[in-house]
Amino acid sequence: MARRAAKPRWKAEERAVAEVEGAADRLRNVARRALGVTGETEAQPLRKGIKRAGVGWYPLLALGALAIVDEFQTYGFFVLGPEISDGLGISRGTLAFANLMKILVLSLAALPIAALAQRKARRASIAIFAAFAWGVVTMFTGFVTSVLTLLVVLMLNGASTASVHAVHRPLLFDSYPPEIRVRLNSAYRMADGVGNIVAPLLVGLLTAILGFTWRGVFLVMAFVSLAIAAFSLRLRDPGFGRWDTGQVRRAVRKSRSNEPVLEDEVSLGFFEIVRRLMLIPTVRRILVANAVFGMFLIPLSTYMFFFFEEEWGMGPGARAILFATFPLYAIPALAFVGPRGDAMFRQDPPKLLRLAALLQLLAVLFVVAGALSPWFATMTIAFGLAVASFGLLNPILGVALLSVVPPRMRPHATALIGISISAVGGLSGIILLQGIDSRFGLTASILSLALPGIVATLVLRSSAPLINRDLDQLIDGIVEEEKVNDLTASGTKLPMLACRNIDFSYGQLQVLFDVSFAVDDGEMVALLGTNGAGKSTLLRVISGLGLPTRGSVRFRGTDITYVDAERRLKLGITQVPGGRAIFRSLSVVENLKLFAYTLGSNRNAIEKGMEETFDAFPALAERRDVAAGTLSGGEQQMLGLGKAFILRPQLLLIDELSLGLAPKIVSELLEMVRRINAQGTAVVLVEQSVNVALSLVDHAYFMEKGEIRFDGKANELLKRTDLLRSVFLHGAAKGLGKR
Amino acid sequence: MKAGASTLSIALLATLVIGSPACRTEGLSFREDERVEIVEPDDESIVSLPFQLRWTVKDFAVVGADGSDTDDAGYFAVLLDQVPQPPGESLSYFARDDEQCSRSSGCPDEEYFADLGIYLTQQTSFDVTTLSDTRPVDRQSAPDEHEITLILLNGRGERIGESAFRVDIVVDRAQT
Repeated sequence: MARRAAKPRWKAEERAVAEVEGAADRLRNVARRALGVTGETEAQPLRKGIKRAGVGWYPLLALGALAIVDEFQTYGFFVLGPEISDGLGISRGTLAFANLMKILVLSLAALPIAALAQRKARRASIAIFAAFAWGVVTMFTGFVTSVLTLLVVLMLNGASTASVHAVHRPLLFDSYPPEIRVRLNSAYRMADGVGNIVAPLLVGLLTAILGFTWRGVFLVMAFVSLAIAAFSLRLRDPGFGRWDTGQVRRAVRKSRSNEPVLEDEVSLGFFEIVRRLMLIPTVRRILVANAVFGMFLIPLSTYMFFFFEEEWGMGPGARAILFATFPLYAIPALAFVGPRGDAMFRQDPPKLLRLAALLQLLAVLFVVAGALSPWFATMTIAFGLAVASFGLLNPILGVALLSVVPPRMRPHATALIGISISAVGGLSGIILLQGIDSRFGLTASILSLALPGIVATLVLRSSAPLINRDLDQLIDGIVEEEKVNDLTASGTKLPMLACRNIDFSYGQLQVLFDVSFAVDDGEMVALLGTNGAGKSTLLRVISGLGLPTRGSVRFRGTDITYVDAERRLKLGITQVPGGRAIFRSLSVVENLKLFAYTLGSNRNAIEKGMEETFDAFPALAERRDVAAGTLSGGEQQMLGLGKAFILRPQLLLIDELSLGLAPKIVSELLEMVRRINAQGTAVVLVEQSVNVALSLVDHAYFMEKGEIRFDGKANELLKRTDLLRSVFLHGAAKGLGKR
Repeated sequence: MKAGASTLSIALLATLVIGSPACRTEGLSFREDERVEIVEPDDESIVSLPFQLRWTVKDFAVVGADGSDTDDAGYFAVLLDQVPQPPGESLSYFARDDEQCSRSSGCPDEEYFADLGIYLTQQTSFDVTTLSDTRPVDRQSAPDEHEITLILLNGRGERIGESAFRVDIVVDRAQT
C-alpha cells in the first residue's frame, strides 16, 4: 500500500496553539487582578465593593437570615430532645439514632445537591426551595406522633440543611466581587453566631415565658423560618463566576465583547467534577487538612460537654448559657479579621492560607489552655477564643478554596469540605480516640486531640505555596478556552488533538513534565522514547485512563482533560493498550463484542466491524471461538487492533504493537495500521523500535524522562544521534531505508 | 418574582405531599400543661437519698383507677429514669416485649413496675429511697444524674395526653 504523501505539518494549527499559550502568559496579570489578586496591601472599602456588585446588601442579608433560621430546628432538637422523648414516649437512644440519621443525610446530601447546580446556575432557586422546605419540615416536626415520622422530618431537615452547605457560599461568592469576599463570608459566618444566640433566646422565650410545648416551639420556629424564606424570594443566581472568572473571560474576549461573559457550559459529569477537584493541589491539601482537623474538632465538641459537666460541675442550663456566650467572641473577631483577610488575598493569596494555619494553631492552643486552666474565668475565655478562631477559619479557608475552583464546581467543593471534616475526620477521630477518656480522663483526652490539630495545621500551612499556581492554572484554563473559542470563530483550523503543558504524577512520583503534543486529522505520528520515558502514560492521559495534574487535553477544540475514558471512547478516541489488550478467558468473538460495548444495540455496525476484522486477519477468523489467551502473541495483537475496525475511532492510540513479535507478524500488523490510517483514522503509535515506527510516520515525538525532547519530521529525528544513541540500537537507518 | 413564586409553590406542594400522611393534629399539646407543678426538689438541684418528691395539682381530680377515661381525673405515675409510654398507652406498654411476663397471670403488676422504676400513686408526694448509680465505673468524678418524671393516668390507667412533668437532679453520693 502506498504511503501517504508527506505534507507540511499544519503550520496554521501550530500557530494557533502558540497563540493560546502566548495569550495565557500575556494576560496573566490582568487575569489575576480580575480574580482579586492586585498586589495592593490595603483592602478596598466594603461599601465600594457592595456598590460595584450592583445588588446591594440583599443577597448577604437574605443568605445570612436563612443561615440563622437554619440553626432553629437544629437547636430545637438539641435543647428540647428530652421533652420530645417524654412527649412521644420514645427512648433517648432512639432520638439520638434519629439525630444521627439526620447528620448522615446532611453530610451525604450536600454532594447530590451540588450536582443539581452544576449544569445550570440555579443555586438561588435551590436555596429558596430548601428554605421553604425546612420551614415546612420544621412545621411538620410540631405534628409528629411516632418515631418513623420523626425520622422522616429529621432526614428531610438534614437534606435541606445540606443545601445550605452546598450552595450558600458559592452563591455569595458569585454575588459580590473578590475584593470584599472575606468580609462578606465573615458576615455570613456572623449570621451563624447570631443564630446561636437567637435560637436559645427564642426557645427560652417560648417555653419559659409563653408556655409553649416543644410542638408549639417548632410551630413558631416554622413560621419564623417561612417568613425569612419569603424574604429570600428575591434571591437570584448571578451566574457562574460573574465577578472572577467572568471578568477573566471579559479580558480575553476582545472581538466578542458583546457576548455574555459568564462561564461557558461545562460538559463534565458529577464524578468527573469530583475527580477534577481532587486534582487541584490546594483543594486536595485543604481537604486533607480538614479531614485531620475533623479528628480534632468533632470529638472535641462531644468531650467539651462532659468536660464542662464533670470538671466544672455545669448542668445543662449553665452549659447552654456558656455555649450561647461563645458567639460573642466570634462575632467581633470576624469583624476584625475580615478586612485584613481581604487585604491579604489582594496582596498575596498564600498569606491568607498562612493566616488560616495560624488561626488553626491558635484554636488548638486555646483549647489546650482551656483544658488546663485552673480558673473558671480563664477556662471560659480560652474556650471562647478557641471558638472564635474556629469561626475565623471558615470564611478564610472558604475564600482560599473557592478562589482556585472553577465556579460551577464550587458547590461540590463546599460539599466535599463538609464531608472531609465530619464524615472522614470526625468518624476517624471518634474511632481512633475511643477509650482514651476512660483510660486517661477527660482532660487528657482533650489534650490528646491537640496532636491531630497540630498535624492539620502543618498540612494546611503546606497548602500556602500551592495556591498561586492553582490560580494561574484556573486562569490558563479560562484563557485557553476563550482563545480556542476565538480561533474557532475566526475559522482557524485547530489540531484534532492538542495536549498542552501536561504534568502527570503517580502519587508523589511525577512522570510527565510540561508535555505538549498534537495530532491532526488523519495523521499518523510516532511517539518514541526510552523505557519509562512516559510514552504509555501520555497515551493514558489522552485516552482518559489517567488524569493530569496540570495542563489540558483538547479534542477538536473541546476540553476533555477531565472527561471519563468511557466518554472519550464515545467521542472517537480508542486505545489499544500495550501488553496484549485482550480478555484472555473470553473467545475471539466475545472479545470483539466486548469492544463494541459502546455501540449499544447497533448490531449491524458490530457485525460489519467483526467481518472487517476477520477479513483483515484471516488467522483470527479461523480461531474465532477459541479463548483469546490461547492465541499467539501476534494474533492477540491482531485481536487488539480489531477494536479499530469495530469502533471506527477518529483517533487510535497504539501502545507497543511490535513488542516481542516476529518481524513477519510485525509487518502484517503494520500493514493493518496503515490501512486503518488510510481510512481516515488518526494514529498515535507508541514504539520503542525506531525502525518500526519511522517506517510508518512522517512526524515523530521523542520523549525522555517525562519530557518531549524532539518534535519534528521523522527523518530529522534520525539525525539526532544524541537522542537515539543511548536508546535505540542498530536498525534505525535501516528503518528509514524501508520507507 | 415569577421564578420565586413557582419555586415557593413547588416547595410547599412537595413538602405537603411528603409530610401530610405522617402527621395528625388531634390530641397534640402545643401549650404546656400547667395542672401539675413539681415543687420539690428543684430542677437541676443536688440531693441526697432518700428525698421526697412533692407536687401540686389543679384542675385534675385524683380518683384512682376507677375505670373512667376522662382527661381531668385519674392518678399519677412516677417514673425514675424512665421515658414514659406513648400517649394513650397503659403502663402494660412497658411489658409489651416481655414474654415471661405475658405468660404469667397478673403480670405486669406494681412489683413489676417498681423494678422498672415506675410507681403509681394517688398522693401528691413520693419518697425516693433508691436510685441506681448512673456514673460510669471508671469515671466516678462524673455527676450521678437522674430524671424523675411524673405523668397523669386516667381511670383506666392510660397516659393522658403528652404531658410529662420532669425534674433533673444530681445525687450527691458522698452524702448518701
